[in-house]
Amino acid sequence: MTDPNDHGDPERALASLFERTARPLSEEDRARLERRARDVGRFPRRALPKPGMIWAPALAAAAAIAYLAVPVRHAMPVTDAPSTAVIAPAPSETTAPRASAEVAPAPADDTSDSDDPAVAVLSGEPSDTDPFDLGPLMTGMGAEPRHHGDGAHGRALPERQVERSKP
Amino acid sequence: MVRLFPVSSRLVANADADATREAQLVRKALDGDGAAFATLVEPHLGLLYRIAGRAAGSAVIAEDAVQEALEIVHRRLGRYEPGTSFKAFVAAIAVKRARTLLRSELRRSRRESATPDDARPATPAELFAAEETASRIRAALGTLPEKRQRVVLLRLDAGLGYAEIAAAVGTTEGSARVLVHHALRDLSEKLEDLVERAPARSSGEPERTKP
Repeated sequence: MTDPNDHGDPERALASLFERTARPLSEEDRARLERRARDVGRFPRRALPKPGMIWAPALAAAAAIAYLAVPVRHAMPVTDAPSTAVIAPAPSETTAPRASAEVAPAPADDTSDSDDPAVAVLSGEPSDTDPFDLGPLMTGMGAEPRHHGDGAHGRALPERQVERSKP
Repeated sequence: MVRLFPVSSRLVANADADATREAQLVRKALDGDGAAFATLVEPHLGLLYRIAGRAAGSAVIAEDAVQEALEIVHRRLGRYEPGTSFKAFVAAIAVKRARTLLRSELRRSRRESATPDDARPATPAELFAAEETASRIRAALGTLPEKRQRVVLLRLDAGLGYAEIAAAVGTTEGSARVLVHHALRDLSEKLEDLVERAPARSSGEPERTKP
């Protein structure tokens, strides 16, 4: 362990080194600097801004930018469907489709219904709506009834599990 | 033991008188008295110049730096607390300015090879060696972290005690001691060959301010 209070020789050696290489202030330079100090002292003192005077406006500006950067917060209130459709953010800006009062529902048309897998699932109609083929599960109509002894995804259960599952 | 008491009380009385005089000068300087400001900073001009000269490669830059430091001291005079060390207050400003000087000096020395300062009187070998040593010290200082740089300058160039260093860098006296210890160790490692050759401070030299 070294004692932080005892710098010993390194400090002495460094002090000597610093002493030898110090730039001395000549009388001429000193006189010039004194004159300069007198001039500086006569200037009206400019008050330095307090730390709060710097960071408080910066913080307010950052908060304003953060507020304005989110489009939903400052969107106009909804009055009717066509006008809100114009205000609604572009699809690329939204991460997920949300049912919101501000976003007008898309006008219903046949082509969109038939292409939308969610509609197909909810209506429970065709079972070939890949990749969301939830029709059979929603309606309870499967292609094949599950047999006793079948596991998830139609895999056969081991014998011990089959025995356990028997009533 | 009996003789110590009157001596120490005289010292305390002198210190009190200095502090009172300093406080009066500060008040006058704050009111725009140029002569009072000059009187206030005059004892510390050598210190300011030495710190600036350590960090800057040339006398001209050092003098400019001192003038800038004087302006900063004048602007911040309102923050000085009477009763505390004015030397530490001035030195703290000088070493902060030195940081910028060291950085620009390092950039400059990378661009062009270090040459002896033209402003100094030319005496061949010794002066050249001294300039080269100063340049190496500058380079070594430039590689130290900011706080360590500052305490080295405060300790070795300004000759401050630990309490004053603590006030200047805004830490406790104990932390200042540890900081100085690490900084000096780092610097002596970087300047190992110079430190080994350097003669230790003789007993005749003035003693550094004890905290």
